[in-house]
Amino acid sequence: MTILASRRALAAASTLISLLVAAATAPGQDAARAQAIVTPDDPLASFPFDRITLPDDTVLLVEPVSPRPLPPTEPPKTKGAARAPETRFPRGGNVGLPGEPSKVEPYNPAEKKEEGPEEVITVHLASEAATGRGDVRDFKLRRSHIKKIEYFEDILLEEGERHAQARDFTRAFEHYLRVRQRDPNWPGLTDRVHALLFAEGRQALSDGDVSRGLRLLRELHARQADYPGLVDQIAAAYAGRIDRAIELGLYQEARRNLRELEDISADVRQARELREKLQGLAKARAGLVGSGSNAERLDALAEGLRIWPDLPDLRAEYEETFRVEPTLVAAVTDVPSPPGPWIRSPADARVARLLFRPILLDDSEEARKGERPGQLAEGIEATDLGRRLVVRVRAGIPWSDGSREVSALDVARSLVDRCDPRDPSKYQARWADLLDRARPLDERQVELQLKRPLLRASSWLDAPVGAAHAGADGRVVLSAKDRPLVGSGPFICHEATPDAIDLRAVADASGDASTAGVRRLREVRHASPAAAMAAFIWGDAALIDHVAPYQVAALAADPDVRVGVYARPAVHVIALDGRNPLLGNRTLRRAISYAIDRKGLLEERILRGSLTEAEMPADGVFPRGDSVDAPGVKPLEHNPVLAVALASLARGEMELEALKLRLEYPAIAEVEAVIPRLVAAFAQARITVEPVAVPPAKLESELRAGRRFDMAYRVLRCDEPTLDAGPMICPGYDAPPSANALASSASPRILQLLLRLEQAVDWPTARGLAVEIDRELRDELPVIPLWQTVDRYAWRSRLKGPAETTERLYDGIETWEIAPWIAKDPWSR
Amino acid sequence: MDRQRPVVPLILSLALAMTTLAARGEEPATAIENRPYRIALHLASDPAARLGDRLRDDLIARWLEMTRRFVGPAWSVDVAATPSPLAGEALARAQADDVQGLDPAVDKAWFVWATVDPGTSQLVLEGREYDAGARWLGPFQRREVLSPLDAPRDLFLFTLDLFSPSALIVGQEGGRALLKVQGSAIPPASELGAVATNGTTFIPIRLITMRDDSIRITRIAYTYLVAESVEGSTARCAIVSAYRDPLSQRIARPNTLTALGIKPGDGDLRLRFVDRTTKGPAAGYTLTERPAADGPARDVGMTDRSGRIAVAPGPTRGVVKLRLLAGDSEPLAEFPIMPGESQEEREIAVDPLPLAARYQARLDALRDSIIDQVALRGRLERLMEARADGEDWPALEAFLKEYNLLPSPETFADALKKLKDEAVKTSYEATKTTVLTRHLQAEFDEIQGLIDGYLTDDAARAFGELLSSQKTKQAEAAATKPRAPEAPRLPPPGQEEAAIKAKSQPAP
Repeated sequence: MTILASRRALAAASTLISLLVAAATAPGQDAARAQAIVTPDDPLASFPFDRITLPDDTVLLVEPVSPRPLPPTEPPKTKGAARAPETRFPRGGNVGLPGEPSKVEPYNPAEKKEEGPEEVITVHLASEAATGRGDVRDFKLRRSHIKKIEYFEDILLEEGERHAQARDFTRAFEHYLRVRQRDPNWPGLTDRVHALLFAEGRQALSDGDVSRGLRLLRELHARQADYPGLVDQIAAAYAGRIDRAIELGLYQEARRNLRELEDISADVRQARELREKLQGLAKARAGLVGSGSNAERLDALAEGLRIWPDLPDLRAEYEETFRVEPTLVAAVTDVPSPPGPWIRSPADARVARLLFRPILLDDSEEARKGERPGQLAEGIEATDLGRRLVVRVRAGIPWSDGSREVSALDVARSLVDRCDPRDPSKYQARWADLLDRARPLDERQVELQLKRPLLRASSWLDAPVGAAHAGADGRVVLSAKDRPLVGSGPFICHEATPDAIDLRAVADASGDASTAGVRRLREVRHASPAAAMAAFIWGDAALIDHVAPYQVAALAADPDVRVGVYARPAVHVIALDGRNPLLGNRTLRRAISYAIDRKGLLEERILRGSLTEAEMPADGVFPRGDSVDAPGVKPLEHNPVLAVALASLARGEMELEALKLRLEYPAIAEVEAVIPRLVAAFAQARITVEPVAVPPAKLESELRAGRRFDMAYRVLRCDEPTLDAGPMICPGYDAPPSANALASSASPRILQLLLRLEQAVDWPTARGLAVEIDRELRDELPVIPLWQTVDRYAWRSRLKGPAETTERLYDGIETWEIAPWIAKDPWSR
Repeated sequence: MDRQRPVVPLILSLALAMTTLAARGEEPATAIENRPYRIALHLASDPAARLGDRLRDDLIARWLEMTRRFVGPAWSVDVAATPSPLAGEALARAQADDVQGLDPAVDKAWFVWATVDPGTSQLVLEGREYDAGARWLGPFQRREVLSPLDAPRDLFLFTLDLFSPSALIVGQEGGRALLKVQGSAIPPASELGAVATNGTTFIPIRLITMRDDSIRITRIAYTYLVAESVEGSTARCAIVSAYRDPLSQRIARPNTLTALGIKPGDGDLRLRFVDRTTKGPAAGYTLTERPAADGPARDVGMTDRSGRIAVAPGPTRGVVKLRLLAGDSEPLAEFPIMPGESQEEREIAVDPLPLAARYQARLDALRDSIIDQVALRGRLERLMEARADGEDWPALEAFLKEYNLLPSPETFADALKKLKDEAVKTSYEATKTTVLTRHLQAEFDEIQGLIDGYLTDDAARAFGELLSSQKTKQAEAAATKPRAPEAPRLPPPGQEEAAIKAKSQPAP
């Protein structure tokens, strides 16, 4: 062995130092490697090295040799070939005469042929005995003196394989990854990676992690489709997954999986069997038509087609049945549960007009004269300075049970029922305080004696009127199980569950439905706002009652979707229950208000864009620009420093260790998006808030009934500020006295103004008080105003009729039309 | 009043004797303090109470024994063989006029109804006392009998609750009323039997002789006399009243002042507040309660839409002061009352002070903004102090700039002055309601004090001076440093040679 050493101490030292510094600052493996320079037992943590075995079985750890892998060694040369060419001397000798140049040819080492890597390689010891670090000296090593050389990459591959066999796939992957980083084309790397993917995928499947297992196997399939046993493994996994999806009724998921399986191999036995199974299920479901009515047949066909959409016979039958029974499916935030002649939540307000006619539709002169269709009043006369009203009830409006027509008795009973505090679902404290007496004068006339004139009659007389012969829940008993809801509206309630409501158009005397284009309306409440939106996007629902502001852009980009706007903006507030002594504390309320970054949250979490004129932080419960929106009210500030200080002050005032509150919020998309940030903001102010999601209709109906709470996120829509101010600021404003809900107003001052507003008998006084409330609300903070947004809904283009701007979702539903449509899978479109 | 003191007791004694005894056809032979109370007990029972004749007789016998042992001769009790129909379920709602057919010789009648609590099925005693002289039906009392074996003791304690002493108001001294209590000179059998002790509360009643010689009995409203000391037969009572001079003698007709003991009842007080001007309900106002003498206030509740509120007996078993508040603090009415003394609804007219409440709300908002400023300034001052201690002058300067951006104290003082001027102007214009109430004026003064006391620029000024002195020091230090010699000025271009020549030539 020939060893040549060259001294490069200074340069090497500086390089080493720089390397160490770099290694020390490098993250991950490099940092780990810097700890132990060469560790043959843990190649992953080691600096690269090769292992050379000499003929005497001496093992040298050297820095990776170059080139890699080394070329094959040259075979030993023959004697003649090995001999160097002989030196030829000139005929006249090589000693020149005087004056002549010497004929001696000097030795030129450069002319000697350099030995290549086939013969000799230069190595550096990877680990010097003295320091344990790399040796800077060059050593030349003749290839013929090498018994065996193990490259670092091969060492890594072997170690990886050992880990793979021990099912430590992550560690094995790291070893392979390091080989790939060094040389992606290293011989044997690909095979080992494939084997690892297969082993890990199979292990994941057997561990029950089907998604991961399939992902790994699919990746392997993409790399090497003909890997032995791979397709069978994938097919078995997919088959189990599809069977499970079918069991759970997730047919769309089953089809998607089947599609993926067929993409891998259409000819595999399981794919054929599952396809046939799904098609068989679809046909069987389509055959379950129940009593055989058009609606049930349509539902059965739709269910069948949802299992397998590509069945031309079923599709044709579905379209034919749909034309007979046009059905609108709406995805809604919440359904009325149960529906009845009352309005306890926005869901009740949405559906009540379809089931029950109000006395007055609106406050127009036409309505008062009875010229508006869809209302019970044929006319209203006011005498005694508005304190006495006589309502004439229109003849010929039958109850849905066909027993009789709507009469003055029904109207009188409905109005009196709203004064009975024992029935909190109908009770309306303001109406109870307002009504002195209601009695039917005859079959068609009702006399109302009021304690003061009504500011706006339609606001009091637009509540649903139930049948007097029905029970308190608006239903009649036909049998032990059959208790239909009796209504007078264009639809009847066929079925109502906590998750769906099925309304059917009422047929008139001639047998024609009251609504031509939509004879059936199904409202479906989904498990979450995201699920509702998914159902709408997929096409299962043709209408969605609420679109979060941040979803609008995506929906508007879809040519099959139209986005409409509700005429009234939505004002988001946090209602506070003043019955909780904590929230009666003004300092704490101010701390809560200061903690909220209204602009930031609105832009980041709700709009996901910049503010607009219609969507901005709120300073009260009334929308900006409303007639009672007080001018010059300073916006509510965000000041986390003051929030912390005031919360601390409040803790001191109330002698509490900690401030703990519950925040109930409706499960609405934008609210869910913002709640974690609100909770974090309160936590920053050292106010511990526990968020609790509640179904929107349940939350609102319970709040209106006067239930106790701490904080509740509410989305308010204001029709007439002077009349809606009370329930907007104090959720239980109309609750029975036993609930003591008036005390829930966190500000006595605002409550006194509200009660004075309630007593107002003329518009100037009422509006003046409403402006005063709006102005003082900013400082009194009986609620925490957040922001106002534009409230939107959306419908698919197969539904014709919804307006771009509407007061209520189903306004004009009598003229709507809907075409049959079943969502196809994207790959089959 | 003082001038009349020597003769008034005699006159009053005579008057009371005439009014209370004349009806009985008796001669006033005994002084009031020596006269025992003649009491008729009307005990009736609900069939559900299962109080048969034998049990009833046994109960009464043992109760009478206890009255003899603990009260003594001050009570002369007669048990009515046939209880009055008033002792029944409707007792709580009964009026004084409903009491009929009583023996004219009795001073007091106790109507006791033994029934069963529907919730616990325990025996319950309910009752009220009727005072024949004052024609006054006392507060409704209720007591649960935990064990039938203990019924006589419970009945005895219950009758102690029912019993209210009668007295004559014989004069006033040092702002206190002097009462001669009936039976107070009779030695009691035990401490329990004392007819009046410290803390015994009376309501004053005026007996007015009308032109037709009839006696009109008028209770002096919202006035209570609380015994502070009992010396002999005279009780010295503090006057707790909503009026300045409730026992005034400035009455045109001949009249006599008497007093009747009163104890807190177990029923709710029912009040209704109305607007004095519009007669509409005073809805949504907060009612607070505190002990009459002194003590912490507690929230009773809020008036409902019709201005009504039911005041349940609170922790104070004595006269309390109720206060109706507009907004959070503006008092609209304040009056003393005995908890549960009556279940009849009382209507109380108040001025809702709408303008004062409005200014109150604006003052509250101003105070909030001042508190915010105090907090922000305090924080900045602490930060500046820390920077000054650490001699971090640039940071101190930055904080000082931030501090100077805050509104100055004058801003708030001006806002307060403007608000006060406006309130004064409004008070001149408003004729129907008070604007600048005493409470509101106190609020103005308090906020002015807040501005003067907490919103000063002293700290900022001090830090500013410190900073400027530091700058001055730095400038001086820079000036005293040895400067590097100045480089000679270079001649203008093209004149270098001339300059060299000029330098080399000696000065003339």
